[in-house]
Amino acid sequence: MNYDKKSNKRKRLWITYIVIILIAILFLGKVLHLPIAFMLIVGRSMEPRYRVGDLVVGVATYLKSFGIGDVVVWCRDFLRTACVVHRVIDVSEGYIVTKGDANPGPDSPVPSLWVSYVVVSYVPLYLWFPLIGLVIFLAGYASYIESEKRLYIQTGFVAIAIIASYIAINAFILGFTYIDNSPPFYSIPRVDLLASYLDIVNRVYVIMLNTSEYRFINAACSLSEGVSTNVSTAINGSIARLSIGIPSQFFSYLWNKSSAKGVSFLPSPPASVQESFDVSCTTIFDKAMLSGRYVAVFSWREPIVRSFNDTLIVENHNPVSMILRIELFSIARKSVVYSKEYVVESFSILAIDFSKIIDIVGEYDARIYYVFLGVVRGQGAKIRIG
Amino acid sequence: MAKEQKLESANLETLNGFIILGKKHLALFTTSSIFSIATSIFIIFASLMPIAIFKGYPLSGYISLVYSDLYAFEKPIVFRALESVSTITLSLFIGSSMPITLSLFVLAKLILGEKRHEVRNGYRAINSIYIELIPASSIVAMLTLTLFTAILRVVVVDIVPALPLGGCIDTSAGRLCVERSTALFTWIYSLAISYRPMLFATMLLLLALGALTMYIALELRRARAVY
Repeated sequence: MNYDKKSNKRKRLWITYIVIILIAILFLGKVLHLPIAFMLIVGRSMEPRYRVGDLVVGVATYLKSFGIGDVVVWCRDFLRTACVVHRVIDVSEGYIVTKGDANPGPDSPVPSLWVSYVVVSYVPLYLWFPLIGLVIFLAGYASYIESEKRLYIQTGFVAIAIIASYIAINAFILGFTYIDNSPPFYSIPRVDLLASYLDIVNRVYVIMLNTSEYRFINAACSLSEGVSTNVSTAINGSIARLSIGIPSQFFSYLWNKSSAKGVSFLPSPPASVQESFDVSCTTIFDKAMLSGRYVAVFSWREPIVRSFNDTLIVENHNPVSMILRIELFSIARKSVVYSKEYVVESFSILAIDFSKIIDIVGEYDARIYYVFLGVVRGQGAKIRIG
Repeated sequence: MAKEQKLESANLETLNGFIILGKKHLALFTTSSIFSIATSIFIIFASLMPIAIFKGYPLSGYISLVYSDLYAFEKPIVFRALESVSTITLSLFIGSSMPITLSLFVLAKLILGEKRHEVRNGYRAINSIYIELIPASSIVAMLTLTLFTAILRVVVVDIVPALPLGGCIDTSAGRLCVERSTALFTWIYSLAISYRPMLFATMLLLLALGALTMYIALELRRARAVY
């Protein structure tokens, strides 16, 4: 009877030992690549779902598949020391994107092969820690009782026991946990380009910036070839409007440059040729400096020629003045009866009332000659006097 | 008188289950204990001290192993790796408190030993089990220092460089260059970069002290058994 009682006690003790060993193996499951593993949460990225110290139970991906919304464990290294327990938010062709519930942004995409476990369950710290502590205490106490309340301390046992305990504590804290190696999350102040355009009529390039985080101090801009400009600014709340004045000489320079380069093909008048130049600006804020390079685009346009009975109208839609040679050819007399050079200022209209110049009633051809980007071009219009 | 002469001549002696330590052994065990305590206090102190202090814009605040308070672009940084490190430093505190407690306990026992057993002339008596706490303390202090070095290295080499000290970022409006924060790296930072050999030397010293004191402790107990 007494022997049976002793035998039962010994059996219970062995069962307790086996339970402790099994728990230890499951804690090491991640490192040993076991199908089931216990892991401890050490980061706050999955709060409030999992808190620091909570124990999560993972099932290997070859036993359980995962998809969007599942919490998975992915590790960078084979030894699985640097791992992340985050939720899957996107899956695409061999890669997954995860995100900690409490993190402001997602992690960088990682290969699906890096995913080791799918989290299927968890036990809060306040439950698992006392339970395991109780099991270990019971095992120790049962061993003490089993040894008939005698402790045999061998030489060197105390030192080895202390060092082993320390290693066990360290292994528990370090080995079974994971270091959340998500990158740091911080918000970078935004400086947005709301709009940038060339107001060619007013010879102004406008840049509109949204700078909610910084206070505008000043701005300096230059054009292609280092031509400096005047910048005027208007601040309206978080929006800064920079108006960069473009000197008229700069357009003349562009005109001459394009004229010297020449144009390979021009369609029938009125043709237009696209032109562009760079605007480089350095904007100084209270805590930052913005260097931007913007492209201004406009078109050189041939003069638009129209006529209304005895009046010839020539429109110049260019930022430079144009020199025109206008001839009036009399159809009746088969000869040029009038010829004169005119300068049409930029963005202006030239109107010639031939009834005030020519006295003879009749039909005429007005011929307008000019040099457009290095090419001599001409247009014509019907003029009827009388 | 005869007993006293015997005590003078031999270092290995026992008295009613206690080990009698000679002057040299006493000096060695005391040195080892004090060295373990000093190392452990240093680890605790170094864990609490800031590794780097950042001032200005865009980064401000400080970083230490236990706790960090960092602001980037005037808003708090969420840095999970630092939080993990902070949790792991629990090992450092457990590992540091063990040598302090054990060594202080043994030192107290050594001081009180003379009165209890009337051992004179610079000799001390101590329970043979307690003497093993000293090599254990040295080894635990050595392991904790190793762990401290590793964690510090991770923070200094992997975590600190990931912080936005300044520089330029591309925005839709162009390249935005911010000012550069001033970083004051404390001597703890230097420990991980410049003074690593000192840490390794300390580890080796602790290991040597641990091994030596363990050997002597075992020898003393073996001699007692023979005696």
